[in-house]
Amino acid sequence: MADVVLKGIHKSYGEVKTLHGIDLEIADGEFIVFVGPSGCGKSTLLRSIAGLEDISAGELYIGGRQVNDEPPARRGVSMVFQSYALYPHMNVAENMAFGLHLAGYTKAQQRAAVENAARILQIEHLLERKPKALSGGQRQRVAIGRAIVRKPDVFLFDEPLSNLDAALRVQMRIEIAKLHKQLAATMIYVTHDQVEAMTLADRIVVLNAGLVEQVGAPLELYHNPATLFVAGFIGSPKMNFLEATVVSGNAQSATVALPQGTQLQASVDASGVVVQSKVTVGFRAEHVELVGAGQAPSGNVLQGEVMAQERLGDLTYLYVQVPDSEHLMTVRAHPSVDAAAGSRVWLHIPEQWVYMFNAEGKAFARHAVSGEKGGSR
Amino acid sequence: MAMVLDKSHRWRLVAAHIGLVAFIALTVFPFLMVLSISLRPGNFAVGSIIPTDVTLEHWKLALGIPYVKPDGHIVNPPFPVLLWLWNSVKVAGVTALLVLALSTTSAYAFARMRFTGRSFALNTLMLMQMFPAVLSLVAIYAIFETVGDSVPKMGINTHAGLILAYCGGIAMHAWTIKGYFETIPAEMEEAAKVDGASPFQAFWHVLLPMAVPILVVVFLLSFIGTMIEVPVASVLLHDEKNLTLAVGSRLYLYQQNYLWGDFAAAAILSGLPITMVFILGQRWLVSGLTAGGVKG
Ligand SMILES: Nc1ncnc2c1ncn2[C@@H]1O[C@H](COP(=O)(O)OP(=O)(O)O)[C@@H](O)[C@H]1O
Ligand SMILES: [Mg+2]
Repeated sequence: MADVVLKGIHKSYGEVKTLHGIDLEIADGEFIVFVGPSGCGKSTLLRSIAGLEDISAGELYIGGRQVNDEPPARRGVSMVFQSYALYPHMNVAENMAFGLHLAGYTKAQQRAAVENAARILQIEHLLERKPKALSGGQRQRVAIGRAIVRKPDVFLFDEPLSNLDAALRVQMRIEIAKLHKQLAATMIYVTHDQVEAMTLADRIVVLNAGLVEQVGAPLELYHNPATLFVAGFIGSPKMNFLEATVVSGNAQSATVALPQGTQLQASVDASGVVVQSKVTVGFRAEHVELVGAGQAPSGNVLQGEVMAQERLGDLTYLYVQVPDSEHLMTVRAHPSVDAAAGSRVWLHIPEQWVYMFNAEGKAFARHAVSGEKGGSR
Repeated sequence: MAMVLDKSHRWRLVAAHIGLVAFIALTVFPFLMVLSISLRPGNFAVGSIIPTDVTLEHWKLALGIPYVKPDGHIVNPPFPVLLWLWNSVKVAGVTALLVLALSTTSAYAFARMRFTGRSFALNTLMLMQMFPAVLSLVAIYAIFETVGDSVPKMGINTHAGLILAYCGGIAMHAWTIKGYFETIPAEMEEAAKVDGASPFQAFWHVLLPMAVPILVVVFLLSFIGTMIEVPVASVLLHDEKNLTLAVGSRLYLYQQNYLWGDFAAAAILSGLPITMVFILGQRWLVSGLTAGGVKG
């Protein structure tokens, strides 16, 4: 068991700078997920922790020991690769025992460890098979099995589920969560899929272009994104954004004007905001209330035209064109709502659910809504 | 698997077969010719391909058995052909193994390690190997004469010296193996390293087993190349008992008297080890060794 501490980690491939100073403290036994768009440096960071890439600058501690110059084998980590990377000439049991074999364990010890891991992952019947005789999901289990037989302090996963089909992915996600409880080991998990991140993580690290955007519990990131990037990345469907200019603002709330003049109120701490400055306001699909045509709209209402609707049975998504933006606003409505394309709707966005970001993309602090906290487990 | 075929397909099939048979005949004919010459009485290069009289006189001489002519005259084998054959097999076998060891390790370095001068070294090695070996004969002779002064066991007229000279020619093989290594995903060796393997262990336990087919190909090419090599061997080896078969069998063809029959028997004999090594190696020439390691 070990904690992992990253201090100012930089990584360049020659001229190409990939990581620009990552600071992070990962507690012993924590499940940390690195999430971010493709090419943001998640794999590079994970491989640097594993020792497969040397760190250009900064310090890396695993279990209190600085390991910058230690080879992978002496870091007490094991890794599950996106491509599984099983040894094709060895059968499943040999694949799993390879690390123990190198470490000089006896055949009996190797067999005991392999059988134990195989039982946990339910692959006991596959031990004699070669990797090419396995399905994708089975290969994935073997790759995880190979990682757990060595009882490492830290597990590293690089997009382990991205090659599986959707149903299998859900199943493996649950099993990885179970495995984490069972082994109580530190796990660092890389994915570009925010659903995986939300469901697995104790804490999520959102990476963007080689920098940490925000670290926090899943619901904390969901409810209080620190930046426009995190707000857009976490949550499905994506948060709706509108360009706006500040009309007025104080510690309690801000009033902004949309391009067509519509005004919106947001309960954010806007003290010190410059009037007339450019901001971005955002709201999530599930926070929109549809207002009937007859009802007199009060404040914070956008009028728009439905371009498309998706009736999924348990809920309905409407894609609404509003005059203030060329992008469609996504709205989650009650399953009974049936608004055909072309119909007019009025969207009421309660001011406590309006997010606001300055021109640099930094969020204004929202005033918490009761019940939304509790992100940290 | 009966696929629906076009009518013209049959004719194309027939044409293809005719072409293939013609090609096979072209390949096999010289061999049959040599076989026929070796079974023909006397030492004539020309004659019908199916010998009218069959005689084993050339084969007996090649195998070191004295041969009694019908007039009672005993012909002793003029040359130690079997010893030459053994010399060839020994030199070729050791050379092929050493070439394999040298070329796989250097190919690993070129394929997987990053160091300054990497591509320069690769290209230079390749370019130098493109000069015909004949051009360097003088140099090779001079080098091994000097080597022999300090290490007599590796000088002129020794098999060790010859093997050393052959080991200089690994650039092509290193290129071939490097190309194959580069098709094997680096993630497998990385997995091995995370599993605790040293770079050499990753190379030995993970990379090499996946590269067996190319290793067999390189071994075969190197073995065959050495078996049939003449220029370097003829410069470095002098004593009759040290010669390889490829060099020695030329002694049958001296200016005034071309002993084609004896030469043909020796030539076929030299093909036997090649055939045997090839048949042994063939079962390792399987494809798909890397299948299943990474996602499909
Ligand atoms: N070996 C390499 N040489 C040069 N650039 C690399 C190398 N590996 C990754 N990169 C670059 O580093 C960036 C981050 O890559 P990566 O960590 O693989 O992203 P992610 O895993 O988040 O999709 C990319 O822009 C990629 O082009
Ligand atoms: Mg990646």
